[in-house]
Amino acid sequence: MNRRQLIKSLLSASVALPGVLSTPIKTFAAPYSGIARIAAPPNQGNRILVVVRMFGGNDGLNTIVPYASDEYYRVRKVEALRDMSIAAETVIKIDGLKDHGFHPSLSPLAELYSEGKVAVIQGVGYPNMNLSHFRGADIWLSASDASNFEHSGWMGRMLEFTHGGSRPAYGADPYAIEMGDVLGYALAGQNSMYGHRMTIGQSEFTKKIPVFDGSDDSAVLEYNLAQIMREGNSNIISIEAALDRAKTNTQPYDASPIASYLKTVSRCIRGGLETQLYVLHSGMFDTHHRQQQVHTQQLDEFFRNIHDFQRELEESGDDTRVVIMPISEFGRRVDPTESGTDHGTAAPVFVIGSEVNGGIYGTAPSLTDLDIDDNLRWEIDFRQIYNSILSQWFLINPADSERLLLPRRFDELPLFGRASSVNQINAAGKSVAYPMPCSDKCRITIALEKGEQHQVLATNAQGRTFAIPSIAETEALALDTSSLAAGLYNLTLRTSAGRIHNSLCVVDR
Amino acid sequence: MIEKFKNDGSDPWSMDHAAHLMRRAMIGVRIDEVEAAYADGLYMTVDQMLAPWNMSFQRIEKYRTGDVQAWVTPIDHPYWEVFFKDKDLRYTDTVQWLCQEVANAPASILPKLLMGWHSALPISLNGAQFTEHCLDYINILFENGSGDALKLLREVSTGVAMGIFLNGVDSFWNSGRDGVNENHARELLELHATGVYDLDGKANYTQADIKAMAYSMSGWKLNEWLRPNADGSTSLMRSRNLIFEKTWWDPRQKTIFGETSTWNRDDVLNLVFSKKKRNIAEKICRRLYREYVNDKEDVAFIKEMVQVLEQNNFQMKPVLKALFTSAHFFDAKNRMTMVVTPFEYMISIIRRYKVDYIPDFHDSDARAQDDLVLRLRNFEHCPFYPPHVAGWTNGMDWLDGSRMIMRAETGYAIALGNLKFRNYNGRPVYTYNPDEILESLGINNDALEYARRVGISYLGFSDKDPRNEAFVNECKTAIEKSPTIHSVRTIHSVLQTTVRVNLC
Repeated sequence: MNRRQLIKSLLSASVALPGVLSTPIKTFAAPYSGIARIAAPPNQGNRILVVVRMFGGNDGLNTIVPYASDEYYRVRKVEALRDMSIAAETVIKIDGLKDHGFHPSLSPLAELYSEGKVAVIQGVGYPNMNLSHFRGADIWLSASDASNFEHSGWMGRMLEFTHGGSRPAYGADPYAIEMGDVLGYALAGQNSMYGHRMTIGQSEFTKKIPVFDGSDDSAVLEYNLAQIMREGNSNIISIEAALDRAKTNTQPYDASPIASYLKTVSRCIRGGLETQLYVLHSGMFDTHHRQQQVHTQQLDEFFRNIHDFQRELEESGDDTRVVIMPISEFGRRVDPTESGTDHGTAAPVFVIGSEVNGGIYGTAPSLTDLDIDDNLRWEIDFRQIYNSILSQWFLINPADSERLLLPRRFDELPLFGRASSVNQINAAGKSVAYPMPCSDKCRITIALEKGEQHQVLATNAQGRTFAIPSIAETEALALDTSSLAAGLYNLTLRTSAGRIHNSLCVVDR
Repeated sequence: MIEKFKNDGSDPWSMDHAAHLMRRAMIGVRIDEVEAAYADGLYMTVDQMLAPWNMSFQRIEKYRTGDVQAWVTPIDHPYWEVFFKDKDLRYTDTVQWLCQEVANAPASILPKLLMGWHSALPISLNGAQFTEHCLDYINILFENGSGDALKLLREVSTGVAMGIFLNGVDSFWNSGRDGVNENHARELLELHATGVYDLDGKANYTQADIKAMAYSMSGWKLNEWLRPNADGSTSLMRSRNLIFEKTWWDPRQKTIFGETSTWNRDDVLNLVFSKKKRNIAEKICRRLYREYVNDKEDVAFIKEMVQVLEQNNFQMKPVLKALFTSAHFFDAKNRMTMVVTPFEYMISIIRRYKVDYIPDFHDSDARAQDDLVLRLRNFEHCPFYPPHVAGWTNGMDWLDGSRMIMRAETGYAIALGNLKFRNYNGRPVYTYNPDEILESLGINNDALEYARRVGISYLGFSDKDPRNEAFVNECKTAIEKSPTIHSVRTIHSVLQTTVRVNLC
């Protein structure tokens, strides 16, 4: 999509009233075990996604290890001194999966997995995977196809869409925060940048900033820059205030860069910063050399700190509104080099959090059926994960994601809920909200089981979620929308069997 | 025909014009240089600025010749650690050398042009693996940056650095075994030579062209061999050029831009340079326009630039000269409407204030002190570390709230001479001699006169503009508030915190 199309579609989105918006969650064919459960309703407040970029290309084969595969050891264990395999006896075994396990340094992740808080998505990739770090990272952050150069990020476009293109007001919290050395397009929208690039220790700039009024072109630019600078300062003040409200970290962490980022993000979240997206860049996963030492150290460093981060949020009760997704630009070659591995293709992705539907998704790539470049074949497109997060976590109508945020439609994975009959009712178009627009009351047609627990949530364009009082009637739910301000909302109905989405337009009373 | 700037009654050559020219054409112009340009007039100044730039290679001389030691085995040999550490130090050395040369350069368009080409045809130290290849690449930019555009493109494309950076050396076709990588073929057209579309919005090539080019360009590889060392280790050695391995090349018939033959890499370059001449000329002129005139392209003017480039057989000096002496370049809408890059921001401070102590340049153990390099990396604008195969961003994309504040904080601290660098606690660095600045301008005791000239040369205010008066008043107030600080330092602290210092 080009910029003009986006603006056009944004305009139409803000005027047209959507009808029934369906979220058909496809029953996922591949077996996944673990604790399949419906996420508890979130606390009032913003839902948060923390993307952790493992820079360099993480070796998927040695992350989720196919320890029962002879082929794995045949290829990876070239000779005693060139052993790029993980010994079967050291692998941390996964419940319900006989032939795969976690790398021995991933015990913190395995611990979270055993509590049902980790979705392991196997064999993630995309068509014509690009093995350049730069290009690969751009594709992952922009969610574009390999052949298309898109200079905006999927998260930036999401913010542009949910905020209707507006920027945060002065004094409001930044929409998104990015930290690290190698920044990307992740938080750039089509028209402006939504990420605040945070430097740890940066404080408000209190010196007077002279701006000179004038009427020429340069004065216009100067004025805009002054606005950006004020916005930066305003963001820094908001962040400092949040950090001040949560002064300390309670978990051990370590002294690595990723730990310092996660510690800061945890304090921001616990301090009540309303920022929805955090993108953290770090890592040395480009293990061409000394892979065994470097990879072990990096996995340990990343996931021990992520574990501590998750635990800290659990202590404060913020865990129900935070999801963590570590991603890497590609996996690595099956066949090792002298002391490491080359850039490869498919690798597992993790989605971590208390609300995540933990378990294994997809099947591990075959070690014998490789692609033409001797690389692993991918099975799940990374944008399926993005679409699942957009739809199930941020409650964005998949039709909007398909039209505006992603190159096309990508089937969702049930990362946060289970495929259910309720979804199928919805997919068949039987759920209708009426009257639309509404003011104090409205109804959704839905047949609930007698006494079935349910909850209705409305999420506004800023991502804020409100619980809506509802009463079950025959074939319908009556909603009390009197507490909602006028505006467009995404409506989510959760039941013990699943969830459906709908849209809601509240008009002035 | 490009309309020339006329030094006539309505808009005569002035300090404003001289300052605009110098701010745009170079990195960190000084007031004395603006005043000299005003005295010399437009044409003499432009000729002088196009003169060769005598870069010093002394600091990195040892990397400029000889074969490259690309690897050491076994990795548990003590020499391996030595080699690896040295590799990182060489990287830093190379970046520091380039920064130092740009900061020490005379009033020339070439440093900024060099940085522009580095962004347009980027490679990275990490991506291109090894200082030597990057230096060979910089040498190509240095020698051809204002010369023959086609030679520049050809030499960069066939160099080792680009070969590695864009996977050209991993692209092979061996008896039908397909290991062809399209990366270089695609970027050669899309980013380097033609762009995807021409000035009228027509596609310059097809995906089939890219594919055929990629197959044609296969067969080139690194020239490497093993060398046993006296200490029992083995070095992987590499020459500074790529070699052609015929059995790695796809000899089949391929169709590029409608012509079919058993093309090879050199044929591809010849085809691009002959069949896509107009597209290349447009791409180059657009790039120069966006580098020097305005982010928003003026298609009519760029078409006139294209004519000049074509008439001069792709020699770029005549185009640059025509550009800098055009009426369009001096148009009010093109003044102070471009954003200074972070690299330019940092180097400008160093150059303007004649900063006499920077750890990266001046420590005896400078190899271990990389304060400036780290700052540039924090700004995401460190030479040889592009974020992307498409080089660095430009214009407003450089400026977000956080980095605007980083700029102001850094500039403010250097202005007052109290930036501390990481390893030597409390030691003021990035410092300079404020009296020398006044002396060099012959205004020993007149700080406010200095402020006035700063406003004209660095902030782009004309002398009569009330905004310059406002700037001088800001400085005056600040000086009165801080009587113990040298007034020149105070003026610089005001200057570096203006929003406008980010524009040129």
